[in-house]
Amino acid sequence: MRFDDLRQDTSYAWRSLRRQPGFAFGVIMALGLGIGANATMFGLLDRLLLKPPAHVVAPDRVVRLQITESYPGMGSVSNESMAYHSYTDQRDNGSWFSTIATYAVDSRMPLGRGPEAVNVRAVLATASYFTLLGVQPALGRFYTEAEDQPGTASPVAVLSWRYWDRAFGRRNDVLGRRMELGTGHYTVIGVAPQSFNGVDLNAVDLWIPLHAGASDEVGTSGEWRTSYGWQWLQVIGRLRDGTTRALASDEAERIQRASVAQVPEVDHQAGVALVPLRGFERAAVGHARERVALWLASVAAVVLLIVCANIANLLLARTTRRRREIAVRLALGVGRGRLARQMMTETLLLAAGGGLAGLLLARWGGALIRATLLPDTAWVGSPVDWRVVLVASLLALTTGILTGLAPAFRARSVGFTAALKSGNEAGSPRSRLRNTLLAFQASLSLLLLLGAGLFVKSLWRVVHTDLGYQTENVIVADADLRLAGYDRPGILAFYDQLLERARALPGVTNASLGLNSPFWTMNGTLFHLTDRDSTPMHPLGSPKYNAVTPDFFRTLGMRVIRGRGFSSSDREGTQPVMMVNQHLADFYWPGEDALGKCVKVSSDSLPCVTVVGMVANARNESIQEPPTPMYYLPLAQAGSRRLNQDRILFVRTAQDPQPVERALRGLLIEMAANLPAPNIRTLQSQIDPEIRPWRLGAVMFGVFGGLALLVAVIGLYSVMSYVVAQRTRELGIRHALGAAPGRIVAMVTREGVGVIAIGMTIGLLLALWLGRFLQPMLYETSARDIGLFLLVSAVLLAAALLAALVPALRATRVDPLEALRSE
Amino acid sequence: MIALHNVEKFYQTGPTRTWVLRQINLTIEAGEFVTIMGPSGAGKSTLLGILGMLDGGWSGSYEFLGHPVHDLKPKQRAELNRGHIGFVFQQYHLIDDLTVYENIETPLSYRDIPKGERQAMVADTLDRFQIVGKKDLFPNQLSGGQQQLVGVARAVVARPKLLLADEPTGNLHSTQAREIMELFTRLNQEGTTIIQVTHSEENARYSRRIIQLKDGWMV
Repeated sequence: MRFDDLRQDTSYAWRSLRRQPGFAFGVIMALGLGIGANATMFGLLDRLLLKPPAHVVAPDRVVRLQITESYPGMGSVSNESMAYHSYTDQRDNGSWFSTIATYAVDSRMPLGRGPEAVNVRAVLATASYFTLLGVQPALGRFYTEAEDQPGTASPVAVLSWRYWDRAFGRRNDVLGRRMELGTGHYTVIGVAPQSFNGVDLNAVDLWIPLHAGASDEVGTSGEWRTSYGWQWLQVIGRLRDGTTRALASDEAERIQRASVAQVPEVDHQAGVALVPLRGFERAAVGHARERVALWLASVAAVVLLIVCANIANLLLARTTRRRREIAVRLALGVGRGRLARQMMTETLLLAAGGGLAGLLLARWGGALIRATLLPDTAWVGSPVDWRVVLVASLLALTTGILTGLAPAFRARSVGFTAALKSGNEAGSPRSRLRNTLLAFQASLSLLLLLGAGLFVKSLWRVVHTDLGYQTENVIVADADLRLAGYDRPGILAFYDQLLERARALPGVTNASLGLNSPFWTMNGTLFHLTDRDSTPMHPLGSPKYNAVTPDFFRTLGMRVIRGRGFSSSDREGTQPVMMVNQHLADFYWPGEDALGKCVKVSSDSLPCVTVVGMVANARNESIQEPPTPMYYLPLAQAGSRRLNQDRILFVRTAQDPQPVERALRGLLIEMAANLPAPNIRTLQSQIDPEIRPWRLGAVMFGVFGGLALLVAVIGLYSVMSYVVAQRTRELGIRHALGAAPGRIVAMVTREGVGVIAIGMTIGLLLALWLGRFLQPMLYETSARDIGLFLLVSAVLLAAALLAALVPALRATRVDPLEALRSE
Repeated sequence: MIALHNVEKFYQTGPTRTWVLRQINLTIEAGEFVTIMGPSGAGKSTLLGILGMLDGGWSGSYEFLGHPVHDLKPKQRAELNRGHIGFVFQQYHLIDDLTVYENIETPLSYRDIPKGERQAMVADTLDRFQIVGKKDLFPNQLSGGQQQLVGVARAVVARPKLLLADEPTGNLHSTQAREIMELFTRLNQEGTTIIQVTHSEENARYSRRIIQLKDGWMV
C-alpha cells in the first residue's frame, strides 16, 4: 500500500466523517466508552495482578510462600500467614533460596503523642527484606541484620517516599530524626525510592525492623518467636539461579512438615506452594479485590464487544447508503482490495478517535475507582501510563478492524448495475448479518444486566444480613495507653472514667466497655464443660469470648433471648457468671437448657462460671462465617481470669455519630494529653471492608450493565430507523392499500423486537451455563434466580420495545404519495 | 476491438428465470461511435455494464482488444477495464466530498500513476475542458451541465480507448446536451471509440451506428 494511497484515503475518510458529525461523534463516543472501560479495567488489573512491584530486581525470581492447611469441618484453607518459627525453619534448612525474608503487613502504629498524634501504616520486616528485593534507598540506607535483633537499644526506621513527601516535604534533614512510634523511639536512617511500596498493594508509610516493632504488634512475651501458632507473618524468598518453583516448593513443604510433626493443633500435612508476587494464583487465595477485578475486566470486555457489534451495524447501514458511490468508484477502476482498505481507513479513523476518548475516560474513571472503591491500595502514578496507552491503542486497532470488517466485505460485494440503478436506498431491509449483530448485542446485554442484578441482590442481602447487632450509630474507640505511660491499674481506671464521661456526652444514648470488638479482634481461651468427661471439639475451635460491662448488649443492639443480662452486682467476689450465644448452647448442650450450666474458663483451677443468660447469634469476624460459639463474661469479673486486659469503648449515639466522634477524640486528649492517636471509628466502618467486594461488583456491573443496555437500545433504534427508511416505499404502499397505523406499528416493531428476543434467549442460556462461575462471588443469592432472570428480561424487552416503537410510529406517518413519488 | 458472441444474462428469482440479455452478437471496431437504443428494460445498461467489465454473471464470449474477457478472472477484468475504458453516467455520479480536481484525479490514483504525472494529466484535462477555474469547487456548486462535463473529463483523463456513456444527457437540457454530444464527437474524431446508451433520437444521430435492443434481444 503506497503512502500516497493512504494519504488520499485518510483525507477522504476525514472529509466524509466531517460531513456527518453526528454519526462520527456518536461512534467515537460509543467506542470511547467501550475502550475507556477496558483501559480502566486493564489499569486496575495491571496494578493488582500484572505489574511487578516497583524497584524489585528480577521480580519473577521472587516468590511468596503460601500454606494450605486442613481442619476438620473447615476443609482446606490457603493463606499466606506463617509463624516466625516456620520462617526460620525455611531460612536455616532450605537450599533453594538465595535470600529469604519475613514481614508483617499493614500494621497500624501510633506515631507521636497528644493532639498531633497520628496512626501510620508500618511494615515490620527483617533486614533481608530489602536485600532480597534488590531495592536501593533514595536517601540514606536500609537497616542491617545487626539492627534487627531482639532488644535493640536504638531502633531505626526507613520512610516511604510517599510518607517522606507528605510528612517532611522531601527534606534531606529527615535523616537522623527521632520518631515516637509505638512504644519506641526510632531514628530515621533512610528513605525508600519513589514508587517503592514493598511487595503488597496497600500503602506503606515506613519500614521498621521486625524485632523492634513486634512487641507493639503481638505483645512482649516473645512467644511469637517459638510458637507455630502465631501465624502473623508473610514469607518471601528469592530463588537461586537455575532453581524452579516446583523444586523449591517441594523442599519448602518437606521442611514445613518436618518442623511441625510434633506440634499439636497444627496441620502436619500442610501443603506449601510458592506463588509469584503478583498474578492469578494469588487470586485463588481469597483476595477478593483481585478476583472482583478479574470479573470486572471480563465484564468490560463484554461491553466492548457489544459496542463493536453496535458500531458494525451502524457502519453496515452507512456502507449500504453509499452503494452508488461505491459502484461509481468501481467504474472508475478502483480495485476491490483498495475499496475495502478505504472503508477500513474510515473505521480506523473512528477507532483512533474512540481510543483518544477512551484514554480520557480511563484517566477520569481510573481516578474515580482508585479513590472510591479501592482506597487502601497504593496507587503509583497516573491511571493512564504507557502500558494503559498501549493497551488502549491495541484495543482501538482491534475494534477498528473488527467493526470495519463487515462494511469492508459489504463494499466488496456491491453489484455495479443494481447499485447504480437502485442507488443508495436499495439495501435489503432484512439483513442476516445485521440481525445477527443485533441479537449478539441483546444476548451480551442480558448477561451484563443479569450480573448487575445478581450483585445488587447480593449486596442488598449483605447489607441487610442480620449480623446480630444494630450497627448504625455505634462508635468504637480505643487507645494504647501504655504508650502514654499508664500501667495496668491506671489503664483500667482510665477506661472506667472514660466510660462515665462518654455517657454524659451530648447525643450518647448508651456506652459500654469490652475486651474485644466484633469485626476487629476476638480471642479464645480454655473452655471446659464440667457436666461431662470431655468437652466436644467444635469444628471452628474453642469458643470466642468477650468480657463486657452490663450495658454492652444494649449498646450494640444485641438481643438477650433467655435468662438475664449482666448487672452491677456481677463483680469480683460474687458468683462468676456468663452469657452464651444460642449456637454455643445448641452445640454443647443439645436438647438441654443451657441456663445453670457451669463451665471452666481460662483455668481449671478457678471456680466454674455459671450460664445465666443467652443472646441471639451474632457475626464476629466475617459476614459469611458460619455460626460460631461465643460467650460473654462480666468485665468486672475478667481480672481474676487473667484474660486479655485491653479495653475498648462502645458508644451508641441518637443520630449522626460524627459529632460524638469528634467529642470523644477531644475527651480522650483532655484526659491524657500525651496519648498516642486514638483509634475512633464506627462499627460500620469495621464491617465495610467485608461488604466492599459486593459493593464494587454491584456498582461496576450496574454501570456496565446500564451502559450495555444503552448501547443496545441505541443500536436497535438506529437499525430500526434505517429499516423503516429502507421500507418507505413498501410502507407507503401498505398504507395506500388500507393498512391501519396499528398494524404497521405492530409489523415493524415485531421484527425488531423479535431479533432481540432471539438474542435474549441465547443470553439466558449462556447465563445459566456461566452461573456456576459467578456463584462463589455471590452472597445468599442463586446465580439462577428465576425472579431476577424474569425481571431483567422484562427490562430489556421493554427497552427494546421502546427503541423499536419510535421509528415504528414514524413509519405510520409515511405519506403514501411521497413514498411512491420518491421511487 | 469488441466482439460479443452469444452473450446472455438472466436473474434467478426462486424457480423463475428473468432474462435480461438474449443471444447478443456484436462487433465494434476501434474508432466507432455506436448508439444502443431501446425501450426501458431492454437490457441496454446491462449490456453497457458487461462491455465495461463491471457486471458479471453472463454467459457467452466477449473479446476486448484480443483479450478473452469471458476467460478472465474478476481481478484481470478490472485491470483491463482500468487500462482502457472510461465511463460516463446519466446522473454524473461525481463524488460529493471531492472537488472537481479530485474527482478528475480519482481514476488516475487507481491506476498507480505517480503523483507528479497525475497532476500534469489533470491539469491538461482541466484545460482541455476549460474548467480550470472550477477545479476547487464541489459538485453541489456546479450546474447539471457542468457536472456532466466534469463526469466526461473524469472518464477520459486516463485516455481510455473506449468510452461508455449511459444516458449521458438524460438529466440535461437541450443546450447542455448538445454541448456534451459535440464533445463526444470531438473525442471520437481524436480516436476514442464511443458506445452510448440513449433514448434520444437526436443524440443517436451523432453516432454512426445504432443497435436496437428489445426485451434483451438485438433487433
